[in-house]
Amino acid sequence: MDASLIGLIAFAAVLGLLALRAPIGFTLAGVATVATFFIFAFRSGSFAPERAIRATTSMVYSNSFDLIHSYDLSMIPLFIALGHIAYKADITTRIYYAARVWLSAVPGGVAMASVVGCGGFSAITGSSIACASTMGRICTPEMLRMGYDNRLATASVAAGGTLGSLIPPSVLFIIYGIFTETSINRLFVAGILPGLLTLAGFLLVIFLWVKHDPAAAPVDPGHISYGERFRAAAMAWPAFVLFLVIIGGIYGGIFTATEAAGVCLSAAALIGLAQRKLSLKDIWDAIRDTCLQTSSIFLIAAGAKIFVAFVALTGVAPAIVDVVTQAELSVFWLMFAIAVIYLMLGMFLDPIGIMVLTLPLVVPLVETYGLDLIWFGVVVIKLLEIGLITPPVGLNVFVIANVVGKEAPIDRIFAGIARFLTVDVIVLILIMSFPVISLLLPNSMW
Amino acid sequence: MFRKFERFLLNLAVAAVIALGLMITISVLSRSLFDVALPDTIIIVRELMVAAIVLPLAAATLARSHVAVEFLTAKLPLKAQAWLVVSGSVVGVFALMPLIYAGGREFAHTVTSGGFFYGDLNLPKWPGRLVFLVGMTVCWLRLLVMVVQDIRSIRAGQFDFITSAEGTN
Repeated sequence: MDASLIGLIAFAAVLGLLALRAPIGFTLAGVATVATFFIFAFRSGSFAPERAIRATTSMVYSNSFDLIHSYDLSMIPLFIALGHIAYKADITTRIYYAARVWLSAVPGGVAMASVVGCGGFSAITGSSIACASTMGRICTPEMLRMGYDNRLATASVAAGGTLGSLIPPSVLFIIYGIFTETSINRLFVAGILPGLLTLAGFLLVIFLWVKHDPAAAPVDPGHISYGERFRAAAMAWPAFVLFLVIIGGIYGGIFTATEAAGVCLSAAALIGLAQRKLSLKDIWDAIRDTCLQTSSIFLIAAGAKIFVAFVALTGVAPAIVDVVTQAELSVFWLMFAIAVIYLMLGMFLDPIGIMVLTLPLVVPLVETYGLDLIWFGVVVIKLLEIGLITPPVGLNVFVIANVVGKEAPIDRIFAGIARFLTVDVIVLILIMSFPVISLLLPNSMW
Repeated sequence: MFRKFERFLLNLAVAAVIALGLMITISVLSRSLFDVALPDTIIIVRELMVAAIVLPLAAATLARSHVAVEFLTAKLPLKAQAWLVVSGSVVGVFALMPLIYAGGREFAHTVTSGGFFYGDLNLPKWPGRLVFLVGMTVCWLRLLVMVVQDIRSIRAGQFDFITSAEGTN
């Protein structure tokens, strides 16, 4: 049996099983194992199962064990733990409160503070959904209580939550870095400007929305003195210190991303304990949640690693590259096609699933065209970010809907999201058209 | 008893993550403040990673926190959804078997050959391999127990376990 035929059957089996709700990690690992067995068994022309069993199990084991047995990837549990501990120690939420106090007199100020809070939260944690879920519980009920239009109150946080993928540290960047073998440090730094651009775009949306419809965001009549404002800003110092250590350390070449994660986790725990915001039990609970979350992520990553090794055996990726190069597709149309595929998948699948399914096929294409994999990583993460808020499966939207309940039905949240999506698409076009936006900082790193 | 063992493994994983953070922090501080490198930090962190990732797998499985695509089947009758959840667990049972088989073989090989990591401490290789084997085996057993329990629930007309699944996240 031909290896590329086995490859195509395996892809169909994966899509079928995923559609039937089988867990992504188990599906990728299971299908890749069976298909690899058949490739090895038919290698000599006749069916030889004995030899195939040993070769297949060795391949499956080495790919999964080597992935887990990694120093660099220890940054994933460490950054996730940092997010949990920073939240329990009130470090992340104080960014929002500081922004809230400073922007209280501005029309739409609480919505803007929510987006800034999401940006700050994203600079310490690496998950969009965690960001939307945490900030949604704090900001959205407050805006609804103040009489904000429920579309603005929910959509601003759902959209703001997506910043978690682009602003470092980002779990998606780490996973992209593993599968494309690109520098995670450079990916982190490459995400900063596009992330800030997106944040600025979201603030502009809120400003224009409230200018056009002042009733959408009643202004808080209470006066807040400058003393109170500076006190609120000063209270947010731990978040600024952690952000400075992560970004400054990586950009300045002082730390690797893994070291930054370890040092910041220890620092956050110490700050929380010193400020009596954390108990040892809180730390233990936070890390227990981290372990459950991390093992689920790694199950997918290990399944994907096995699947990638299987794809390499099939020769499917070079065949696709041949087809595309023979079609003489220009870079524009290649990127356009990739964007459309990612946006469509983003409507139905979760970001990690999309990435691990597509990268084995897309990255060889991108390399053939001589495109920069760091820049491409930023484009991919931006596309995945957009998928988090597009219907019908905008995960961040569902997270916010769970928080607010009946006060804002899903269709109202999606109606509000439309304006933020416009900005996302504009930023995406800018990132795709001007790679310098992504590459300026990584190219000037130590 | 089984749940207690799963909880014990989860607690070991928590300890491993704490050790990871401390190890890396002490390594960075000792390097930058005293210009002293801790021996074999990278090897120890890699071994701890196996514990941090693999030991909680059974608890994560019990919490049904493995990511799956629910959207396409969410409108099906509850009974059909319940059978799909069971079949997802069955896929997991089959997917883990080659890993457990190969993990057992690799563990036996490192024990008999006395394999160790080249470094200052010449640490043995078997602990990481053993942890991998234990974590995968307990997860496999958990999946098997869940398949049986879920089938029993379906036969009794109870479909609560579908909603307890976190699904896509």
